[in-house]
Amino acid sequence: MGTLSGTLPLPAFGTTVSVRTRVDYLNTQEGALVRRAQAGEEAAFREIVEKYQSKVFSIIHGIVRQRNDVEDIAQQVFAKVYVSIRNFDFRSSLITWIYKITVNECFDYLRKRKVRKLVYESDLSEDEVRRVENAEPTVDRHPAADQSLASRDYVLKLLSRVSEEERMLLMLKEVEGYSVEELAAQTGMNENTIKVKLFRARQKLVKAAQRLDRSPGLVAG
Amino acid sequence: MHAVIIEDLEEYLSGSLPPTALHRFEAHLDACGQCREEVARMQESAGLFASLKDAGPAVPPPHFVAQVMQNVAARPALAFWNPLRDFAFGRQVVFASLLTMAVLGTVLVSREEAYAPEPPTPAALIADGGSAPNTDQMLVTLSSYEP
Repeated sequence: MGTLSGTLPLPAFGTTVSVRTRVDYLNTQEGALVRRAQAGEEAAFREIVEKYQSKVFSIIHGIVRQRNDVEDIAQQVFAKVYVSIRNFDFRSSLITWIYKITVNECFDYLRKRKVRKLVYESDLSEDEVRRVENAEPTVDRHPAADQSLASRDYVLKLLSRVSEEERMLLMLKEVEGYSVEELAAQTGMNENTIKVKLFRARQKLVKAAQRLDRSPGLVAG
Repeated sequence: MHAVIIEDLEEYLSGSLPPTALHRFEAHLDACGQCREEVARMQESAGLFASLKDAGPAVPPPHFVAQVMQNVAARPALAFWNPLRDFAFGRQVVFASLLTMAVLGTVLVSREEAYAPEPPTPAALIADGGSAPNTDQMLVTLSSYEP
């Protein structure tokens, strides 16, 4: 069951879900809130921020893990929400739309951080770079934590090889635990379309993994 | 990968495939090496997502909402041309403008042809011989006239 259920009522697992139409969503309480925000009402936008700030923080923290940067990225997410909410077309739920923005901001942050790191390393001499790369960690780290971090970095590299939409679907399915039925209700796409998109996204992940395994030094993105 | 696998893949990966469908799915995997290999790789990559879960609590600081509202209030007011900055909207405007110009252009050109005065026929010139500016011009007109 999706962990977004605290913010949006979801049907119980296993029940038949009728396809939610755009009109249905427009007529909900949340639809009314979005329309007020689209009209420029600051109180409505504030309500959206208050409602979804925790969820945005936990999404970012799951991807980025640097606590110092989580708040900065969250600020950028809501700035983007503010600017783009006029373009929200009610085809998906608001939280799905915000989720996509959040994940994209995280990947933009990771990409920029990688570029800064490469620039920094290029200022070091060859001996210095080798020394940095081979240095033993100065703190004792739990092996399981190291493995988890390595897996996280690896899956983030793979995810940078798929489209924004595919990334969002994969994360909603695998991290948030949504079923295909629930994804259909949240995104406004039909179930077969979601199955096909997820299948293609998984194929791309597998191909990216094969490429990375063949060339470990290959930097994705 | 075969359709029978693609259809039930997501439920299989999440462990929620009903028993009959699961039996059919696994029977196909037993029989088809290609699907078996692909599904195994997809299961492996799906397992990696566990590292993105359970990151621990990330509670927004108390000042966060106020900071967001302050940032959006500090943004410059949107100029009327700001919607054009949106690529999709701008693209639509450009397309609509080109279409309008094409239609108007076609209408204007066809009207010009409709209203362009026809050159005087030789018979009309001869009949109007007194008001013709000079015989040279009449000869030019007669020689260049095309019915």
